[in-house]
Amino acid sequence: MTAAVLDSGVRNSEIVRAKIELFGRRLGQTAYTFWTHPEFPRLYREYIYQSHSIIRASVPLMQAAELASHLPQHQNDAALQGFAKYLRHHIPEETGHHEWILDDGEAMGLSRQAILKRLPKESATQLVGVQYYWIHHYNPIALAGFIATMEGSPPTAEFIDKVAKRNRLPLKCFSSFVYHAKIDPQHKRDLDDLLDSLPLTPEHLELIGLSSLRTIRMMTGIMEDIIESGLAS
Amino acid sequence: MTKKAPAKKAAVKKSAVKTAAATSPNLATLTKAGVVPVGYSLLSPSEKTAIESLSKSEIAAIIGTKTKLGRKFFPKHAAHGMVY
Repeated sequence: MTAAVLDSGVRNSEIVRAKIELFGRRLGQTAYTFWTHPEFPRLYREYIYQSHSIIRASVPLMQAAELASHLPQHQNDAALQGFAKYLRHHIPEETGHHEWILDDGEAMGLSRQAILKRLPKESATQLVGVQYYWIHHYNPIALAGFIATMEGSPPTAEFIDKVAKRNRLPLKCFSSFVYHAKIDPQHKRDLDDLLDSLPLTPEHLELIGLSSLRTIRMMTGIMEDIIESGLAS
Repeated sequence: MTKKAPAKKAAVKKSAVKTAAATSPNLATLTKAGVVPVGYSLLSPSEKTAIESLSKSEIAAIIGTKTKLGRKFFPKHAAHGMVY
C-alpha cells in the first residue's frame, strides 16, 4: 500500500473534516432545533435514553477495532496499526463516559435502571452495527470516521450554560456535555494529528469518509426521532 | 430579437455547466442531485478538494434522503454541537 498524496497539498484531516462540515449541515441544523426547542426538557429526557444506548457502545467498539487490528490480514496495514496504537491510548480516556449520561438522567428525574433497561431503538443498533461490520469483516480503520464525526463538534461550556439557564435546569443535568466541552477539542486535535501522520491510502480515506457520512446520515435520523418522540412522550 | 436572448442565455448556461462538469465532476453530480445548490460559490479550497476526492461510493452515500441538503440546509452552518 502506498501513502495517499494529495496533489493540492491538503492534509488528510482537512479532507475528513471538510466532508463532515459540508454534508453534516442538516445534522447541525437538527441539533440546533433540539437545543433551542421550547419543549427542550422533554426532548432532553428522550435524548438521554437514546444517546446512552449509543455511547455505551463507544468503548466496546474501540476495543473491538483495536483487537481486530491484530488479525493476520491487517499486519501489514501500517495506517491501521497506527490507528490501533491511538485507540490503545484513547480507550482509557473514553472509559466510563456512559455513566455521565446516567448521572444526567438521574438529575433529570429518570431512573438509572429505566435508562439501562429500555429497549434500544433500531436506529442505534444500526449506527453501531455498521461499525462492527466494518471492524470484523473489512477494515477497522472505518471507526476513525465514526469517532471524527461523533467527537467533532461538541457544544461549548458557555453554550451549555445558556441552555441550562434558559430552561431553568441545574448544570448537573448536563455533566456529560460539560466534561466533553473540556476534553473533546483536544481529542479532535489528537485525531487530526493522527490522521495527518498516518500513511492513509485513497482506499482508507474513502472508507473513513463513508463511515463519517453513514454516521452523519444515521445521527440525523436519530436526532429527528428524538425531537419527534420527545414531543410525543 | 428579444425572443432569441433567452436561447443565447441558455446556451451560455449549458456551456458553463459542461465546463463545470469537466473540471469538477463530483461537484457537478452533487449539484445535479440537489445536494449542493446551483451556483454555490462559498466552497473553501479544502472543501473543493474534499468534494473532488469523493469516491463513487461516497457520492452514492451522500445522495441519500437524509443527506439531501439543497438550498434549505447547505448554505447554513450550525455549530451547536451534535451529540456528545
